[in-house]
Amino acid sequence: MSYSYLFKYIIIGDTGVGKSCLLLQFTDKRFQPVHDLTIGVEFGARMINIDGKQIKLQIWDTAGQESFRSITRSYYRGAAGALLVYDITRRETFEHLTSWLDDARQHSSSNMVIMLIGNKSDLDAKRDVKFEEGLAFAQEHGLVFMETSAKTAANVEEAFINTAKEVYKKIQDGVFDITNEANGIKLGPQHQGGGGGGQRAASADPNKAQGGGGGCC
Amino acid sequence: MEENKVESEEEFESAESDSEGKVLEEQSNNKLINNKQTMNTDQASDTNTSQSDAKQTHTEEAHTDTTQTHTEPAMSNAEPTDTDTSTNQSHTGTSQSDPGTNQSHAGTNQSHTGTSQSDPGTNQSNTGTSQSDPGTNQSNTGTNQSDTGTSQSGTSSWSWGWGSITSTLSSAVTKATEYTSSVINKGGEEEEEVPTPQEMRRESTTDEEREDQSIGGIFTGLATAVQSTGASLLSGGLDALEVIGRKTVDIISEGDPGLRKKRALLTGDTKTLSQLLKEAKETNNDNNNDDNNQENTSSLINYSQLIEQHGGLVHLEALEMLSGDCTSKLESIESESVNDEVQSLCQYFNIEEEEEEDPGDGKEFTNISSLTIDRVKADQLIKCHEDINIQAKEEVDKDIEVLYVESMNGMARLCSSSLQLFKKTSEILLIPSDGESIDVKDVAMKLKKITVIISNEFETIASLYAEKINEKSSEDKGQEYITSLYLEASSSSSYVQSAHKLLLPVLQHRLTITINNNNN
Repeated sequence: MSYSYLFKYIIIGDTGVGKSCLLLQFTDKRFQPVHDLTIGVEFGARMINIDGKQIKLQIWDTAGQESFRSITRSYYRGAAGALLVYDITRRETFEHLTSWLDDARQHSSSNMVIMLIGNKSDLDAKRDVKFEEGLAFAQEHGLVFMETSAKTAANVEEAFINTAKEVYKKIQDGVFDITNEANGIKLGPQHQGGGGGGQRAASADPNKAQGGGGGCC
Repeated sequence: MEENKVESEEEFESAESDSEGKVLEEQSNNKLINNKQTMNTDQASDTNTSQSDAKQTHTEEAHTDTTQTHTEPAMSNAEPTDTDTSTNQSHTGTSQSDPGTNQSHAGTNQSHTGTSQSDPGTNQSNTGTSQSDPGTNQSNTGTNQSDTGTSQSGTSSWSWGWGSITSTLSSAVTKATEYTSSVINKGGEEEEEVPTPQEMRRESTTDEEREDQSIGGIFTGLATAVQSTGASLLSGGLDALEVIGRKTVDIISEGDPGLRKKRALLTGDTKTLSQLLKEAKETNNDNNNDDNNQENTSSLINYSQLIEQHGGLVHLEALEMLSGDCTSKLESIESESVNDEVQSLCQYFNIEEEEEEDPGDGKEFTNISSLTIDRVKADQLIKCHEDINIQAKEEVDKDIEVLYVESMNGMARLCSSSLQLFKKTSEILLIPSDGESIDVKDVAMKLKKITVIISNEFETIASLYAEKINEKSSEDKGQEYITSLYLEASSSSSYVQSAHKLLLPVLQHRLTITINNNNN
């Protein structure tokens, strides 16, 4: 399917906060209560629409375990958006946010949009971190903030889409240089080669479009 | 960077002029000289030509290949285009010189982003030119057919997908691909010896030392080497194509274990493999869209797009990132003994042709599960392989279109799954170990085996389906599908082997950690 832009997202945060579940809810609209530990990184993708533009979100769901930390750091590069997730029922996951944020800031573009997510909002009875605390942390560090539930799907769409809107806004404002892939944004096919439209009409040989996959070194 | 560029141009030219002399001698083709004269005139009027010299020599080169193998100058369609639209436009209508203007100078001229945008249009303008000119037009459709007598329109144009890729690397690859199609066309008719990498290297580079400073030089040199041998290859068999691919890898990695220097340079301004793939995919998309709008006749599948759909591209991208980070960590090794140990791993990353010629019986594929490292499961890959075989052996009457789509999907799935396996392996290897030791050499040996098994499998799948398609239809379309199938089988092997090479720095890094742990 063709798209105008591709945004690379990365999901980070402590193990067990529900990163993979958020992704699954967003891409497949389902919830899996027991999820295998993520090894390294897994991927998800979904098409969304902003301002009439088709945008493909390519989501890198990283392992939260400490032992993978050095590996996942390699993956920050080139992300346009990051979802920094904590579990509202486990205070320590909130307390580790600073360290995650440092990692994110250090290994990615300074323009990366970071969305802070307090997940498991359905477990309000077990709440260990107040909404206001999350909000205050977000404000202090210039992040967007939301509480979500991967289980009930509350705010899940919004979290991903609002992040994309922020990225899109930065593109409109000229903050993101879209020609630089290091920013995690890629133009879709219809944006490529826009200049040659007129001449293209002369195309005669359909087969020339084929191939391409040819040997790589 | 600027300096590098200039150097690479020089090298390019010198390499070109070498083969030019040879070619002229061998050929004594008057047509060439005529062409050169035409080019001169054209370039005088071309204000946008920044590299008229290089271009000129290159023109002849390309032209020579063409004339040697085909009856008409067909390069207008088979060559990736110059990124400069106006250059091409200014040549519109000049039949003889047109093929020359569509040079894949991309590498030497502009190896940076942004240039690809004007490409699709440029491609078209060339086609337009061909249309208005009977001479060139003939070359568009007649390229390979002059040899075989069948009319497979457009098999010569397979390199289009790479048209927009503007790095030197791709220019080398494109040429390989380009000759590929011709080779396939003539597959098995006669065998001709392929030059060794050493020979190719001698031809293409004059100064070994310079390579280290100029990545452009290496790749341009490669392009030339591949190009200049292309002519002799055209009469070779399908095997020759594979050999070229492998030799290319060999040349690139020669004298640079772990591809450290090259990779370091590649991670700079030039593009990575996954970027190249992405661009190839997008150019294809673009061209396909156009064609669909117009004639809706293009039935060939965009393979790089399939690889993306099956997730292969993003796995490759992740693997490249890990590999790149390991490469930079390796640069800080100071101890010589550690360095020697690290370098010794390189031997496991050269896959010899003989090993690959082993005909896989399909059964050994399941052995992969015993070759992977702990915590990495090959289940998905093996399941994928089983599915393909079950599907391929179904006793159902299928149209050739169905067979074609099925086979391409199967290969793309298998390829993506393999890339995923390699990525996962890298990740596990990089988890800090708590005293638990990994026999790095053993892992390296096993990874090599896995790579060989998977690489062979693509050809097996292609043959399986080619036979089926052939039974059903010997017409143009069937043949076109078969050619496409073999080409993409070869591409798939290349992807897997490239991914395998990316594991070298990962293993090397792992080894340094092990050594350090033992020392402490």
